[in-house]
Amino acid sequence: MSDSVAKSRGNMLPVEREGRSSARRLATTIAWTLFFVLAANAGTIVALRHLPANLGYWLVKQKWRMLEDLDRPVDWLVLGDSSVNQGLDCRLFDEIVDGTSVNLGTTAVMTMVNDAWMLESYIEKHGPPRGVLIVHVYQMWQESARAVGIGEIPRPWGFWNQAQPPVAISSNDEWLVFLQRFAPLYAKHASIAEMLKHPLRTLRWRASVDARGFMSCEDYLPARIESERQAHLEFVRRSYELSSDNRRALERIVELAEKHQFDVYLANSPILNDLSKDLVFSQFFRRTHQDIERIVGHSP
Amino acid sequence: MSFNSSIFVLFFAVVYSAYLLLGKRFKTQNILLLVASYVFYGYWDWRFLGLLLFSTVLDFGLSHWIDRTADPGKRKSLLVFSVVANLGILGFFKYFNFFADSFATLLATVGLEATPLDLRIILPVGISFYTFQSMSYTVDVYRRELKAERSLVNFALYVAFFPQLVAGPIERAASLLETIARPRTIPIDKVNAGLYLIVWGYFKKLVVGDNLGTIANEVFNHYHDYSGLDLVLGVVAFSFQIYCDFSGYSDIARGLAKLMGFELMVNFRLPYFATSPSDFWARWHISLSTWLRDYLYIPLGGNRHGSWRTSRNLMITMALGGLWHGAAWTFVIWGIYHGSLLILYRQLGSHFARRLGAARTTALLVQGVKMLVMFCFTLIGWAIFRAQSVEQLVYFARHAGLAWSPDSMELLTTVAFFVAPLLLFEAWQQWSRDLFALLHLRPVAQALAYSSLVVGLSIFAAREVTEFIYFQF
Repeated sequence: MSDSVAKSRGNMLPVEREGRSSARRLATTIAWTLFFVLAANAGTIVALRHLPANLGYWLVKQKWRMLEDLDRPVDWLVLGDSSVNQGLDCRLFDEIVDGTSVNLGTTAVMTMVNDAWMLESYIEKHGPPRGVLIVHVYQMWQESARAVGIGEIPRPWGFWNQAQPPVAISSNDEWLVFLQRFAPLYAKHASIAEMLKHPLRTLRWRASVDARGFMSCEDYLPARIESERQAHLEFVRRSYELSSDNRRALERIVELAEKHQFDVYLANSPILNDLSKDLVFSQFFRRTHQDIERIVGHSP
Repeated sequence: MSFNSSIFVLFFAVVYSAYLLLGKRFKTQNILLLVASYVFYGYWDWRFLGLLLFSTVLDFGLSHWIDRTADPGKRKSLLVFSVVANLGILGFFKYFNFFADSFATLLATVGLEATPLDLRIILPVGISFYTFQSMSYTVDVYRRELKAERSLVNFALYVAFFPQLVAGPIERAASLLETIARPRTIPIDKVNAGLYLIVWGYFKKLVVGDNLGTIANEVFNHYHDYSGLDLVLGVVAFSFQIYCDFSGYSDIARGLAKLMGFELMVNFRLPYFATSPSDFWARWHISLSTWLRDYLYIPLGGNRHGSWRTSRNLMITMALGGLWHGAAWTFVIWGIYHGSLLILYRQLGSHFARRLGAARTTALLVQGVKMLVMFCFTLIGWAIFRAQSVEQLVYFARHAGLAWSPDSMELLTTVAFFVAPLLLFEAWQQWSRDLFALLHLRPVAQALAYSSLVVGLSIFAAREVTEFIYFQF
């Protein structure tokens, strides 16, 4: 019926000409398709090393590589999230502490679990530092370690079970970690989509940290900070609970500090002055502080 | 269950494996497919299985009665009963509240107050499709173009065949029922074509349709925040969303059917390359347009009784075709709009075509201009179709244009990003006059194309299930 319709309208209407195929031809096509898809995936893994569209993914990998490439010990380890990554210049910090330091701050999604893992890894290689500074945003304390972050840490498969504290992840999350590492074409689709939709922006953008791990940012956006004020106030009105991952990580850090006799300083990222004066906000803050005190309070 | 859900993938894997294992036992295959189709439909809403069964049994019984009756008057009465029953079911579920509200509004304009009876009627998925499909069978039996099907299982499968049950193509009994009633073969050519249609269909729906749908929904749902070029881009985004969503679904349905040895009709033939309104309707939702032609337009008289009656018949057919799409005046206006285009083209188009036809040296340019002009007309139609109210329509008419805004570049690049590859590929299909042009390339070249589609799906397909637009019809 469809062909007769096509013919009656001259020869402008396209038709379906199936042609001849064979099982061998079809199998060849499928095999080549799989090959090209796998090649595209491999290409994506390489491309994401040099053209990161997602700062978070890149930071985690970069700081862990920096830690592993550290060829001599430092006096101070600076750990935490992006607020310290972009907020603490080791050249200035060195003058304050009268020593050497390295900034290994990543992102809040990594939680204190990542801080504990990095600290332990450093101690294994270089021995204990003189001091550790950990800086986090206040929202981090309720978060649990996520597979999306764990997948970015360049350590052997299953390390999250052996590391201290261990993080139990579900089989579904293990699958996510696998995809994160070996199938970025699927797992990092949002980042890749952005790269493809804005190629010029991607090619121009270069994430970089200096040799000591500090990332300087040229954008200064006070209006944006102000606009997020309401979101902060809504956040602190929700129910609060210190996550078990953060609690266990903090306990591990205290354990290491007591065992190796070094000081650990825990600091909150800078917040708007207005927020600190808000009653609900300060109550939230106090509760967080009390939880942390319960864990670290006994330690000298 | 939607084609783009993981549960459907599992469902089809199980059904298809069982289907293949049955080999040549087509009667058992039919039972398997019937049960699978009812499971598929029941997954949407089990409450409407009864309605589907009722509609099936009704037309099965009536068509048998018609077939056994020699008296023309009695045959006609039975046919009328079938049509009234089917349209009554469709009318109740789809149009009751629409007509009640419209009647109350009409009374209010003449000063009479009426509180419309508001029934919370849920629209059964696919009712517009399977009702029309079932009706066409009864009419074909009445016209003696078909003998009534003796097997209830076969007929029930014809009505409920899951690949095309909820969003078409609207099949004809002469084709689908005939295939159901005999053993099927699945030559490798069909498998090859079927796999191509499935992959291409998913790409159109999940990559192009869904991503452009985000833009279209944003512009249409917050239209007061937009003007100028942004409104135009919103309409362009919708025009490709609805095309890719619907043709993508049709392709997946046809591909799945081919894998089982069934041939469903071609439902789209590159509609945005149409050069005239009649050419557009030969390319867009072909199963509906041919249904309306065969069961409404031609019985009304078609073009056999002069220009005035032809125009009348066209307008009635297109208006009702618009109403078929949904219970809203914007759909009727859309249908009337396309009817007007068809009528105007009949009156004026042939005059210009004769003049342009002489310019053979610029034939390609002329075709291109015709396609562009027709596409612009189509865009206006889609703005009418998608509008949620007449007020919105008026806003679009007043504010759409070429004025640039800070959002325009982002909108334009995103629309172009998804539309350009689609149009390039379809331009090649149009130039080749072959919708299966890809299948004639060497395996490596085909593989490059397929891998691009798979990579595109991996990157751009939304991860949560998004509904196909035409399910709401």
